[in-house]
Amino acid sequence: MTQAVPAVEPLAAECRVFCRYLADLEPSAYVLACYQRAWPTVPAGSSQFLIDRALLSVARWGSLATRVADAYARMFRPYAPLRQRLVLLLAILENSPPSDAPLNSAVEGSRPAIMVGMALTLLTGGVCLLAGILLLGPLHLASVLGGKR
Amino acid sequence: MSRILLVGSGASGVHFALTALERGHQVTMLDVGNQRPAAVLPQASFEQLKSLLPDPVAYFLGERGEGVVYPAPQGSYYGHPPSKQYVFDIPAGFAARASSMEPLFSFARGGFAEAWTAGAYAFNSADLEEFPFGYAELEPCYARVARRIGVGGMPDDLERFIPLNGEYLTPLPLDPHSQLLWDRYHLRREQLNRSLGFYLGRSRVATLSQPYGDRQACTQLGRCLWGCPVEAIYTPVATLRECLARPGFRYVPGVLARHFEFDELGRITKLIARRTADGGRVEFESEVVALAAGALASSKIVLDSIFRRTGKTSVLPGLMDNRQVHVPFLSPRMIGLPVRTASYQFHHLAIGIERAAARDYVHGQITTLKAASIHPIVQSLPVDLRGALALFRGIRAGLGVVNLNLSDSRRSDSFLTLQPINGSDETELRIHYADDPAEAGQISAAMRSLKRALKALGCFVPPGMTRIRPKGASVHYAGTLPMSASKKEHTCDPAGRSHDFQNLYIVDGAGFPFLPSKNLTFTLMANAIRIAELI
Repeated sequence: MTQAVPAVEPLAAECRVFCRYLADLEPSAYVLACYQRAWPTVPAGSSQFLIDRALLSVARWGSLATRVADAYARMFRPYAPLRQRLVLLLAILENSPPSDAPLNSAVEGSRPAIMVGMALTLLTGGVCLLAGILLLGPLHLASVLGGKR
Repeated sequence: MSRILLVGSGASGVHFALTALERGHQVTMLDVGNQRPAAVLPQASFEQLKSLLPDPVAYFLGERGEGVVYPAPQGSYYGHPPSKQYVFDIPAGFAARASSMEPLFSFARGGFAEAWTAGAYAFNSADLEEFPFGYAELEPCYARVARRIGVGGMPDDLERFIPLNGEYLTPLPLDPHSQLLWDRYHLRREQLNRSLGFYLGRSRVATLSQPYGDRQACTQLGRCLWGCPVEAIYTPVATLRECLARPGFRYVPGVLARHFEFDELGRITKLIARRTADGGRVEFESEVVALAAGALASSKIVLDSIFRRTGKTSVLPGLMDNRQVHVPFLSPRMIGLPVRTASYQFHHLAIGIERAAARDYVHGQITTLKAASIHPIVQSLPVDLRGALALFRGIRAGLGVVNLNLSDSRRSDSFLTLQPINGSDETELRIHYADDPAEAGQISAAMRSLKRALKALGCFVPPGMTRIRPKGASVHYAGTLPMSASKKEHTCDPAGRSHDFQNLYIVDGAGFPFLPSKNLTFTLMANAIRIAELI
């Protein structure tokens, strides 16, 4: 499905926030160009559902907010436009230098230390999900119960 | 000596052609022949491509991101890379519609095997029980294929299911994760064999561990999925080159075979094709016609031919396809170890799960994660993407996937037929694949055995991540014009000769009366040789 591409600057701003969230770096001009080039083919790039628009709005506030919105979307709106756009950017980043190297590498070292690190990651993810439920859950519930888009 | 008109350049077509040429026949091969693009930077590894290519995203994901695997209800752990799109492109003039399955078609020079993972597994006597000939007849043909294409393999526990025929090459060296699984299997082998009927061995693959003919050995670039740039992985184009070097061979690309005309005795008089460039009609005459366009496309030619002569839309029952299940697993012992992406990307190990009935044998291949597109995997982890990336990097060295294949048998409610397209001269192939009521039980039983076996190998199967692939995804289509010892409508004799048309041979999977769980490509090639020997 193709869709209208939003103006360049909002798309670039979104890409910058999402890039910081995924890879802790500013997107290069190449990454920005790729994001803009591929954006029209995202299967659900936009949505009429209130919760999907809210997820995108919250995610654009900053990288921490992106994580909260993403954690919520992963559980309750896994195919939402936010997830689709983040996956697109992740695909671009894993194939473009310099972000490709860290994204494609494995963590090496002591197994217990890595396990502890992963446990902390899961804990942080849980906290973000909880924040997402508190922030977006009521809106989602209200829109579902009210039958609003 | 006969003049043979052959349709298709895939695994069946090229081995049929080469054998027929060796026997002194003249062969004209008609083919749409979508061509493989030239390999980019053939010496560069998977990782090096990303820094050496001017636009790596276009190479790995396509100009418009068509290679991105987006979140979807039936998500996949990998997608077809844009560099392989030519394999699946459909020419104008070929129409098909399916219900209950998602079939793929290939009109590439080399066919589907341009995108295969090189698994070369011989059928055994149990697999061939419903075929009108035995293993002994096929064995020398397997040996010839192995000699032609170079197959790696060695005697191991899988030999009880997968006979080794002729000379096999030394298999590629195992990657560290596969080595760990191999070692642990041999520690628990007796218990796994006895209590679970689980067997593990080296994959039989048509990937070279040493130079062979004009092909190079695997240089461990990690680019298998995107297309091996040194041709260490066999594709039928290599055999097509051999055909082209022989007198008596004529290759006609750029034509889509549509239908044939036949007389009242059922003798084909001419074959009608369409030029893909301008849609123009072309006609070919020959003494013998052989169809090797793939089970679906070959069947469409037969259906179309009957329809145009009689006005009757026939039904070809018995469509088969292997159902596949992807089972991701984690080996915690690998956590913390490095991953070498510049290594052979496909499977090194294969598994067999014995069932009460030999025909229900379950075949699988174990692929450990090396070079890969990571976004399809990362998005499937049950946390936000940032957390998922951190988790993925932590467990990456221990990740792998088992690709399980189930056998399939011919059923009357899975069939092909034809639908004329109103207001035109065109027809549409209609494909209906019915659910097998026994399938869910077979998958559950296989999964139970596999999970217990993986646990014994020190692996963990994460809950909720096993994926039953969509029907039609294995592209192992077969069974619509089956070989049969008795003369029945829409079947062929044990020599592949049609019972309906006296000078027509069915060379591809359409002629298979049963589909074992093993990848069928090696048998397609061997059977094509067998049929060519009988003409």
